[in-house]
Amino acid sequence: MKSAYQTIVRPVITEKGLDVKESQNTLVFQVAPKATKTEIKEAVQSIFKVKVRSVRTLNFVGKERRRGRFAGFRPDWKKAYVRLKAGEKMPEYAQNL
Amino acid sequence: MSPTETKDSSTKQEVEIEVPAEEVTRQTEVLVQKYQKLARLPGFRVGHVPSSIIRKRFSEEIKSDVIEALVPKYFREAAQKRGLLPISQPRVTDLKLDAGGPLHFKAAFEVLPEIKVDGYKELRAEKPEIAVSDADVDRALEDLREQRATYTEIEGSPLGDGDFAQISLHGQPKSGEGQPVQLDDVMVEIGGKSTLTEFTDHLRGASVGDEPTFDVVYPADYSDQRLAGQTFSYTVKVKAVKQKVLPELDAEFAKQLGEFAEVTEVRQRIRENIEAEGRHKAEHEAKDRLMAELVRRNEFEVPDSLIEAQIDIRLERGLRALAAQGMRREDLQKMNLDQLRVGQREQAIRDVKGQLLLDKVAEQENIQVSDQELDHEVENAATQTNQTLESVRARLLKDGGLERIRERIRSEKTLEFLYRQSD
Repeated sequence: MKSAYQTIVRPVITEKGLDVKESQNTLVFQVAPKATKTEIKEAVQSIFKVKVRSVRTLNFVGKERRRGRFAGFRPDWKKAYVRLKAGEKMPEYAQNL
Repeated sequence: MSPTETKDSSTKQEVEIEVPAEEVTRQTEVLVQKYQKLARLPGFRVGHVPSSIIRKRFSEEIKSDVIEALVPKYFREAAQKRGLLPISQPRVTDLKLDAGGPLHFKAAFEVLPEIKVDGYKELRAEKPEIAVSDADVDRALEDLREQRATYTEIEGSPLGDGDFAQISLHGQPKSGEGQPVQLDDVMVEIGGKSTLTEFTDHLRGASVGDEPTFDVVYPADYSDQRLAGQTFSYTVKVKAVKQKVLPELDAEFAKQLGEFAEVTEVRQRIRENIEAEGRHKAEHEAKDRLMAELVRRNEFEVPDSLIEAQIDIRLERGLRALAAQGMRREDLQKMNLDQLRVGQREQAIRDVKGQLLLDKVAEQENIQVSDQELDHEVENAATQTNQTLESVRARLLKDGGLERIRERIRSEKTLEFLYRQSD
């Protein structure tokens, strides 16, 4: 069984993330690129003990990075907008953001 | 603000200060706004970071900034309120600051003690008569003659005591190490005080053209370190035998020395010079004694910070003097500074006391330094250092040196005042 912490990598704290937190009761995370919406939903519910209403995800393709003549790529990653059910309390980490 | 004050000695003071919570909050708010404008955090545009994140992210920085802003301000206020003039940086202890709460700290600092200067009007300095004897003048005159002595060659006679040999010499160190010595046209006095006995012994009786060879053993404590303790083998060539001729004490000699017409005038001038020198020295000594007496009569406690500062000044001066004498940097660094500090302490205390007492006397006697006097001093400094008056003045204005000079002149004037009224 995959741990919830393997699915959720870190919260994404940005201007937009704070906006949707206020307006849509939504948390934003960086998640494992292979995680499915269901996995994300279950991970958030188990970590923060909240009920999730919906999950929207989007993939980021890693940008090319060069060190002189060596080219490489930053890792691909996935961002997830996790909307909590109406009336759910925000987890503590997000409360005073 | 509810400061309380504890006294533990006449120079050390401690105040306990509490800055109200509202003031702390207001200051924090100001700082948060300042950080908000500048903070650059990933995920946010500059200036768009919410204050809540700023507060969290920069909590330590903001806290120390709040302390930095409030502590000196409230400390100054508290000191002023009580009419205390701190002369040292406050040492802050027991600093407490909790989010949303008041800022609490204790500040220990030093103040000038109450100085009462008494009895300076009764100070008496000895002013010895300066007597210049004829013998003193004669001696000075002799020295002058020596300085202007000329050497004339004596033909066909060997070197005797009191004669001067003009020689060229070549010296080879016996040990084989070290530089050989090669000198041309040196004057050596046979039997003279500053002549090495080996030279005297081997050259006595020699004539022009002789080339004696001999060894010279330099004593281990010889003044020239390159030669000390070494043995040199010298080959000397006697080029001429000369005699020292002192100028006659006549009008001719007087004219040579300057705008004198007669020897009596020279004597008069010499006498005046010796007198002036003696008077100057006596005055200096008398002033030193006056200061010592003043310090002795007025006992008070001296703040540590002033003593430390004075020790610093003394050491700085001493080290610079040593460096000027050609002491190498590495040697200077090797010295035990802590030990030196302890050694300087006594004198530093006396210095500080004297200075403070002089200030006090100056205050009581209303001794002040006029701008002209200050200008004059600055002008002197400018000519001494070969700079323009303007540049010196500008520099002094910038680093506060002008005030220091003013204080120094005031001290000098005060000391002069003490000296004058001590008859």
